[in-house]
Amino acid sequence: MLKQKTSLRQGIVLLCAGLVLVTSVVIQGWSWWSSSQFNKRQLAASIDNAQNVFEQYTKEKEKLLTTAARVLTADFGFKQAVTTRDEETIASVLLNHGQRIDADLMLLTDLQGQLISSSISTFSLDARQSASLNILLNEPSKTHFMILQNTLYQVLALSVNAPRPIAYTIVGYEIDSEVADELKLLTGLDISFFNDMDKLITSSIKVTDDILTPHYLTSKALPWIFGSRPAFDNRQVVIDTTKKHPIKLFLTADLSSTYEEYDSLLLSITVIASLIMLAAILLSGLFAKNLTKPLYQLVDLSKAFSKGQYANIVSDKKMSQEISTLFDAFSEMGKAIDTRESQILYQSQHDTLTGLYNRHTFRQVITDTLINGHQHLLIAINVRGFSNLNEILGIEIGDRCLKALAQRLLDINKDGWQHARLDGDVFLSLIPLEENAHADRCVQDFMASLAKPLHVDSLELNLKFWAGASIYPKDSDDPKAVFRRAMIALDYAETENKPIRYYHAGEEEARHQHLSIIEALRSALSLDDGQLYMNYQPKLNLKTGKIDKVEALIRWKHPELGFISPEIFISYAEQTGIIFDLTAWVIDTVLKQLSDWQQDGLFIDAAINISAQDISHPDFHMNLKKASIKHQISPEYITLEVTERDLMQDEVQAIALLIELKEKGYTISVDDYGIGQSSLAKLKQLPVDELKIDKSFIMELNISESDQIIVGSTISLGHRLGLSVVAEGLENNDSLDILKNMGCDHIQGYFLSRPMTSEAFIEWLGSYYQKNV
Amino acid sequence: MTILKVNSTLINNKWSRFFKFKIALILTSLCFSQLAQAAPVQIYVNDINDQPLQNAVIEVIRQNASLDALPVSSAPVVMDQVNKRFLPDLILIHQGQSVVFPNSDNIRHHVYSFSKAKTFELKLYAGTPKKPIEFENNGVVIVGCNIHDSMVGSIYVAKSSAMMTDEKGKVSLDFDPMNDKISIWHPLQKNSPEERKIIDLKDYPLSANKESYIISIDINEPAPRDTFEDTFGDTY
Repeated sequence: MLKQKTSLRQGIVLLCAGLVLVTSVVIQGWSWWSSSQFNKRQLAASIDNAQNVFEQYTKEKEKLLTTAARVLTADFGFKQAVTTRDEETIASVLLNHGQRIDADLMLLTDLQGQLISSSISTFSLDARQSASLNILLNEPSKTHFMILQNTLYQVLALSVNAPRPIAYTIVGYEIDSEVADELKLLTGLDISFFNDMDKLITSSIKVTDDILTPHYLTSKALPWIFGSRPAFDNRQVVIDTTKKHPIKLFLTADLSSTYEEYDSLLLSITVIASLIMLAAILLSGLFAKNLTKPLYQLVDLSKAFSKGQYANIVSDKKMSQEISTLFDAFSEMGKAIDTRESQILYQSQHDTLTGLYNRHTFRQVITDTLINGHQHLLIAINVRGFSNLNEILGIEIGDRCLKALAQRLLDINKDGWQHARLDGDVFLSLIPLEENAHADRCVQDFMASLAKPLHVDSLELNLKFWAGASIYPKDSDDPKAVFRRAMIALDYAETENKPIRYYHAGEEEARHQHLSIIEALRSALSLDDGQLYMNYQPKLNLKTGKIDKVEALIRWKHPELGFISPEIFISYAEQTGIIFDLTAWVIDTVLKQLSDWQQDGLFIDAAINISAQDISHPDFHMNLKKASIKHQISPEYITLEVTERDLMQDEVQAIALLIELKEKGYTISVDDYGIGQSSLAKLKQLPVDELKIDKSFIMELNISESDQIIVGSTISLGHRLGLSVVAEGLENNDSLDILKNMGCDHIQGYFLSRPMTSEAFIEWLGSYYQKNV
Repeated sequence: MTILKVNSTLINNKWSRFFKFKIALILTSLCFSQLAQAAPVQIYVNDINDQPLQNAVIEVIRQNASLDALPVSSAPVVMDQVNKRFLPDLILIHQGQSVVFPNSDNIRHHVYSFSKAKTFELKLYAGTPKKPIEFENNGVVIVGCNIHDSMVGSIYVAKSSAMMTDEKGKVSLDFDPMNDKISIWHPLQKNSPEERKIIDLKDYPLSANKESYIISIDINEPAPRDTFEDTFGDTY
């Protein structure tokens, strides 16, 4: 279960209230304890005092009694009366003299303690009382408390001397409720006398005699909120009694008045504590509110921060110093976060190098801009040969160059133009087109201003660009498609090597087809189910008149797409890298064919087209070797045709491989010679055996004088360099004659034969030799 | 009074241990009694601390009263009053003898007695009263002064031969201890002031030299005199 968290406010209120509660309880407890201690001491003192007073009182009484009794016993008449032994006389004397000294009891005994007479006519002594009297007589002049005839007396015995003791007079004062009351007045405490049977004799406490017992005094309790408390505090005091008649004297403090005082004290403390607690709760609540209010404000502020709202907050003057500091710190934090967030946002949206938008953001920018439907031009620009520039001048210069270019874009900026830098050296500009404005004109202007020389440090750079452009909404009304299509246009600008290339309708779809063709090609290679097959085009040796070579040409008939142009799928294969696999398949197939033919007695050379990627592939040579061993075809039967353009890529590794291949006995042929930008000097360095003049020079050779000059000089140049020369694309007999005259080594073309399957080739070969014997 | 009892009990106890001797002693004393007619009997009186007790009065109670040969003295005995005291405070007289109570102080006295043997009163007087007081009955008469409680005097009125012990506590009396009894009294005795204790000497042992009897009685201390308390009662 989740524990409910206590709020700070509750905590403070609880703390304050708790403190007050604890304090008041402690004070109450302490005052209760100390006042009860005080009361106890007071009580003990007052009981001590009462005891002293009582003792003093009895002493006083004793003196009074002694004096009175002495006066009485010294009275001659009394003595005379006593000696008469006349009981009635003595009784009347006792009564009379007793009244004189205000005694309640007058007895006369003989020297042996036998009662002679009494002031109370019905008085008699039992054995126990007589024994007690004897004790009394042995201590004359000392008072004792005695119960006689159910009445408590303080008694004193004195001898009657005539002049020797002749009798004893016993004088007593009755201790009755009047005396008890008097003692109560003197001592402030209640006083009670009980006999040895705990029967009440007399008391100043006015309750029914039957109830009043020592037990009642010690055990009576008053109800209280905390149970009960004793009604009385008692002390049992030992008083002079004869042992035969023990008398219990209780000095009793009635505690109810003390309780009343204490209870009213308790009540007032409780009331005061309650008031203080109430005040504490109110004040602490107020304080806590003041404390927590800014906290809640801070909570709101934090929530606002989390939503990205960094409103500036000003600390309230009412706030305490600490809270104010906290607020300021929060405000600072908000500002700092805001700054950092905008930095991060800027970095996430912009290219760090140039400060232009990045690809991700620019897509959104395009979408946002084009949503209004205005005509826009999107131009994608790639710097030509930027990697070379990087290599030559270093990445640092390259970066500065890109920066300068970005700056150039901003410099030529016009209203509504927006720019981005994608990866590397690709820039994008979104330019609004005026109504009826000519897009081409606009692009031309843009590119012209871009092409002006750039100054990077002390360098002056003349950069050249490929630019691809798409137009919204002409090319697409989908901003994303506009973006894609500009990029496609740029791709085409690069492949077609055009400075400005517009997107043409259908090119994106073609791209999609391209992708599906690649997939199909992969599948065809792995299935090897006859979709791919080789055609062979014969080459005629003009010197011998023999067909001693064929060019192996790949063909693809897809079961659904039908015939697919080799130009298309080979270029796709080159772009996607599966050209290597394709070439491997071609080599394997051709060598197998050669092997088959050789087994049939036909020994003929085959030319295989290989791409630049094949040459630069480290496994190419090994594959070739394996295939030739597998089909037992020696290298002299194989010509490797490499286009002039591929050869000129000038890769060291590729050249080394070609040299190696040549040394192994393979014939290296330069395909499409004449349209590339090869220099003869370079050609000389390459391990080439054969030049294959491009068909564009041959097809109309018979009617083009310039072609005849080029071809003638090429053939003679080739021969001088020790190379054999092949003319490709021969279409008529006139051209054949010209070529024969020029001393060309081989011809190839529709005039001789179109490419055909191996079976068709064998058939054709047979019929050719029949015709030309 | 009880102490004397205890004392005699002690003696009895002592004797019970020598019972055989007792019989022998009785026989011996019987032999002596034949001779006793001639020799006086010596009696020593001690207090319970075995100290000789002076002023104890021993009176013979004869079996044969006719044997009492009382000297008849006509002259009254004097009990003077000097410095609020009776002087002497003890006199031994015979039955029928008179006592005169002259007042030698310059203050008046009120001499009285409530004793059974003689009750009399000489109301406040100075000088010598006109008549002496005649004590016609035997017994102990305690005299006091009504206005001076401390004044106590005793008059022993003897019926037959009686004698006061000397400073050695000794008396010598002619009687037959086997037949006659004696009474003993002392002014400070713890017994009732007028009681004369009767003793049968047959029950009493002879002293070691077989010539005397020893009697112990318990007495009170003599009352202090001329103290503040005596004058004014209890000090408060």
